[in-house]
Amino acid sequence: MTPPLRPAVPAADRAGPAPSPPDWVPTRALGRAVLLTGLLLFGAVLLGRVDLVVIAAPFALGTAVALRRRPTALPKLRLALLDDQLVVEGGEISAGAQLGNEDAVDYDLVVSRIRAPAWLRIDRADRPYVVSARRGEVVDIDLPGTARRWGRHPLGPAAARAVACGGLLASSPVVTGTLSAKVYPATEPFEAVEAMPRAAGLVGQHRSRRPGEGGELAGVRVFAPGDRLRRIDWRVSLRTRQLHVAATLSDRDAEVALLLDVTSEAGESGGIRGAASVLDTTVRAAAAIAEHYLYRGDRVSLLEYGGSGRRLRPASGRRQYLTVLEWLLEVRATAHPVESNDVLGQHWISSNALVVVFTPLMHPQSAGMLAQLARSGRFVVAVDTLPKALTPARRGPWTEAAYRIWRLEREVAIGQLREHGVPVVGWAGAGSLDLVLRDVSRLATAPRVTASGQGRVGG
Amino acid sequence: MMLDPLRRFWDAVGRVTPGPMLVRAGIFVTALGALLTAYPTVVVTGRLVAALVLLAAAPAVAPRGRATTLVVLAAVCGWLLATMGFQEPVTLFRLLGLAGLLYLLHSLAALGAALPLDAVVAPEVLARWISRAMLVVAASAVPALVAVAAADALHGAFLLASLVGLVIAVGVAALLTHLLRRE
Repeated sequence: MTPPLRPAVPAADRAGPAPSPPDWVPTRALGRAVLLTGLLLFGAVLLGRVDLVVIAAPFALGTAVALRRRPTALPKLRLALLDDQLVVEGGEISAGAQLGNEDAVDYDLVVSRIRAPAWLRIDRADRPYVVSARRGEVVDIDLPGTARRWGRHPLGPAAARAVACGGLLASSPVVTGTLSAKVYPATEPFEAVEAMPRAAGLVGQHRSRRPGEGGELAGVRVFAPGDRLRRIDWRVSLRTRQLHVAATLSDRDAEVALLLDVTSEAGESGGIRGAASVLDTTVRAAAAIAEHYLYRGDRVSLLEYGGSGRRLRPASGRRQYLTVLEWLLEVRATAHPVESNDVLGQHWISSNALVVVFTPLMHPQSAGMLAQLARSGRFVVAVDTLPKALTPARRGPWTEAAYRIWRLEREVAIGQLREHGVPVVGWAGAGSLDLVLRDVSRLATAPRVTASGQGRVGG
Repeated sequence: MMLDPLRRFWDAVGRVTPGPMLVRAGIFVTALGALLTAYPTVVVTGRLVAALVLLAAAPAVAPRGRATTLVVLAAVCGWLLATMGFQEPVTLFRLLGLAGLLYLLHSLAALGAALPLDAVVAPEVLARWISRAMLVVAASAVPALVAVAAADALHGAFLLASLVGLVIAVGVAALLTHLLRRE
């Protein structure tokens, strides 16, 4: 005999949901006013003294007047970034909260607190703000500050508690969620020689329609900040009494792949005006190089080595630059080093691309990845992102010796990479890559043998 | 380890802002004023005044607690002691002053309880609050004057106090009933 079936869905709770706390609760001041009024009136009746009635009168009158209209709605609180401009680290950010009173009663005061992230230096952000809000009024609480580091910084949560009826009633706290404040990396000035190892496009068959450094004249336009002086068209400038430049079309179609090693973070970040950690250098340098090549009309792609292995498809133009900046905001260091070199999908990188790898070379896997890229025939340049003034925390008498041995091993790895044709340079802003790019371009013109053993001619 | 609470205390002292401190100072001044007004001259001019100062400081230090209620009750007891025990005359100015100071103490304590000590307070919050409290004090002085004048005219303070007290008590009860019904 089969047992009787029972419903799989749990039975509804007969007690119903737990009652929510009331929106407005009486304060201790209300209890005090009622108690004192009652005691004084009782004493007046008992002792037959009018003076006690006179003393009780303000308490009775004040309570009656204050409670004649009571609030019902909770205050509305919303976090907001009051400025729509793109914020770059080191720049001004205008965060704040909007406090609304949708009730028919004035709020005597509203106490609000906003939690600000450490990388946003906001004056007096750690203090509660007390404002009054009349009925139907929206009060802005401005918190101007400075963004100290790139990234997405969670602003909030914020909480507010209103007091009405002369302090006799207080609302239950209103808490908001967080708001992500985007701070873009400040790009260090970066200039590089025009040497590119190999153009990916079919130069000569089709004229490029993309503006950039080239020989094909696209027109003459007014000089703008960032234009090169040698592009000035002096004849037109003299005639019009205003500087004009000869705009040209790009005659190259090269791809630059920026590979970010996010397997480790080292050094303490001090923000825009402090020391730079590995990720700081990585992100700022990647943004600068991407800006440089995108401005010149090249295609730029980004990949992560380690972490979730994110990638950004190659593209060009200003939209791609903004996408690159957004992409860089999500860069995070992974907790564990990559165990296998297969994490990097090499098929995502074009064989003709110039690969710029930002790596602190803290793990042997990073050096292996670089060697693997070089063996596959790609033009690889490694940017060393390890802070120069890095000192490990002293954990024992052998810490210093162990650190020195590690540095020596790292130097050996860098030397071996150079022998394999992978230049490793430190990041120093403008001109960091000039020397190595010339070398790579020179190498690209020579016949090379790839790992598969098939000879081919670069260029 | 022992220095941590001390350091936290000094950190908290360093964060105090002028707005809440002004309110706390107001609480102390009104409490002390009420006690000095209420108590007999013998007490006010004697050594016991130090106890009154300490008592007045209690609601300023802890406005969220019961200290405010205790100070008001202590002032009323002092008033009864002065007028009934020491047979000091009940002057109108002194009575209205005591009533006003006690209500201001109550109102400022309600404000002080709502304000964190490190808060940045908009000046209009304090201005509105104090002006409203002063308005209540001024408005309640009118019926008080009428009651005192009527008591003098009728020469029957006991009966009048009973009647007025009962009327106000009934009024307060009706108000509370009305508010509870609106819940």
